[in-house]
Amino acid sequence: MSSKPTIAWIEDDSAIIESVMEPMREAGYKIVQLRSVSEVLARIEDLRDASLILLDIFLPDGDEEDYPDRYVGIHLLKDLRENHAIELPVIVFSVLDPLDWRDELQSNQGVVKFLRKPVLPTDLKDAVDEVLGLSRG
Amino acid sequence: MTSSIRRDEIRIAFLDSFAMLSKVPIGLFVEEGTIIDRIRSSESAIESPRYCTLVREADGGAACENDEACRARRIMDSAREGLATCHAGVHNYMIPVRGDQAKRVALVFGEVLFAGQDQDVNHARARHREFLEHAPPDQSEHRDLLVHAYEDLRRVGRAEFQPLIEVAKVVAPSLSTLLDEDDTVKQSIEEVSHELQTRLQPILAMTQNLQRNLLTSSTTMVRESLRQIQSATQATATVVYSLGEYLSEYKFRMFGVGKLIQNAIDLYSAEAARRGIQIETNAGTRSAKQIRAYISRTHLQYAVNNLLHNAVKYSFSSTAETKRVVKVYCHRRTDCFEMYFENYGVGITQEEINNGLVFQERYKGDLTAGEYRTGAGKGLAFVKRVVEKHNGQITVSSRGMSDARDPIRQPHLTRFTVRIPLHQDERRPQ
Repeated sequence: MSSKPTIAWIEDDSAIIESVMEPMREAGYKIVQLRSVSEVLARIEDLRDASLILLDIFLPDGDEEDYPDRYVGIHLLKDLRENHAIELPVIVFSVLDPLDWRDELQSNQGVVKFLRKPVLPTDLKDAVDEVLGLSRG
Repeated sequence: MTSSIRRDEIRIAFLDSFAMLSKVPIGLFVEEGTIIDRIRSSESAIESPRYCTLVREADGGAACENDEACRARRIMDSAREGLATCHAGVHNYMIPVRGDQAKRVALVFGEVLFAGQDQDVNHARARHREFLEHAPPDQSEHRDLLVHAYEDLRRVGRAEFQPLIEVAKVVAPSLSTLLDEDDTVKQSIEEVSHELQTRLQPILAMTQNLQRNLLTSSTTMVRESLRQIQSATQATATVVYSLGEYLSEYKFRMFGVGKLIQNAIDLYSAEAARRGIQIETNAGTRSAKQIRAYISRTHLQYAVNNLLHNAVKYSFSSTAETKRVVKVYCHRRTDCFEMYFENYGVGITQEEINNGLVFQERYKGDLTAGEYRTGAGKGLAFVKRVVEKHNGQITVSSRGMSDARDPIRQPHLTRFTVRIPLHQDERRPQ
């Protein structure tokens, strides 16, 4: 099994990560789970070591001033770009297709794909492979 | 949604009725974020760009910072109804209908000139024409429309206008209710949809994982995977049941409380048994069967299901040394009945209890982690809503039962207690 990049998965629902990550883990990806805004901000260095962010939109916590509505993941991403110089590519993986923000997220926030739950684990792995320019399989 | 369309129709019918009877235009200004929209009654639908984008000073500068939308905003800011007059001398009465931050609404009607103020009116009309002369050339059609609209304005006496204000004050709360219901239905459907997507994700993933690993897995592993899929499916079913809360009307009938609990136990006893959890109850006893109350059976059943499922879900599994028990009891009190759901497992912090966080939409407990951190945090908010519709109360207590340093691993004895009046009074529940 070849060593593959690290994926920072920002998702509060462990059941989702546990069930969906199997093909990615088998393929050698290292997965770092970050469950909330506070955990992401406390572990910024983990993000710097990663090659890709998988981002959920509905996340717990978040300061009300910086995260004015329930689309916490979107505000967190802007925060990471603007204040923490995190420039990784991002796959938004959420129950929501953020139509109102699609253009902005793609143009200015480095979002390269939108996947709407539920997806097959292999489809998510293929999307990760594609974004990272790695061969499938 | 059909119900939403129906509410739109009712809203327009309200406005139309007012416009027809009063002979003055009426509409709603709805502000969401930075966008402000005008919803006219069909009787007074004149579609035009914002007035302030049309009127210009001779040098092309903006002449109006006081059009209907601006005035509606000020009324919404002040949260006080009142007469608002534009620079062209047109009077509108505005009533704030709804004032929450996400969506503000004002009822606006009038578009009249007051009789006996001819000098003022002539002056205002001259200003109006002058400003419109400098409207951008591509807006000439709208400009002409607005010039004519001013010529056709109704002139009323103040005494004639006052009764309209009184009628509008009666109409406004109904419009507010319609808007609230509309938003609640839309939001609820969206939330249920998101919750279902969230719950379906692990099921889809687990079935594919099982399929991929079938040939290399032992029988024990296959059984465990199937057990997990069953549990996840049951959790999803709870969400589907909750759809009834959103889609069906509350109908209060006399019903046995013990039966509600027994139905819920039938639903989740298999899941509890798989984890070695015993469900202890008095639901089948004579005293429990004698507790009958006026309840909306469908809704309260969902709430009981949810509370029992939570008790099972957040209970620690039994081990060889310890048997875990979930307790569900109901008792009759003087004017109400009481149910409690008690488990030994994942706790709730005092802060979460004191601040009511545990009943907030999308809230996930601080002490939930790993397999215990599931769902989208809607269940208890839903339960609270159902209990309150029955004019009842729900309370929670949770205390640590060991000296474990890690609060996530520390077992808690957690109890949700629901108290609901035996009879609902004449007024419908909130």
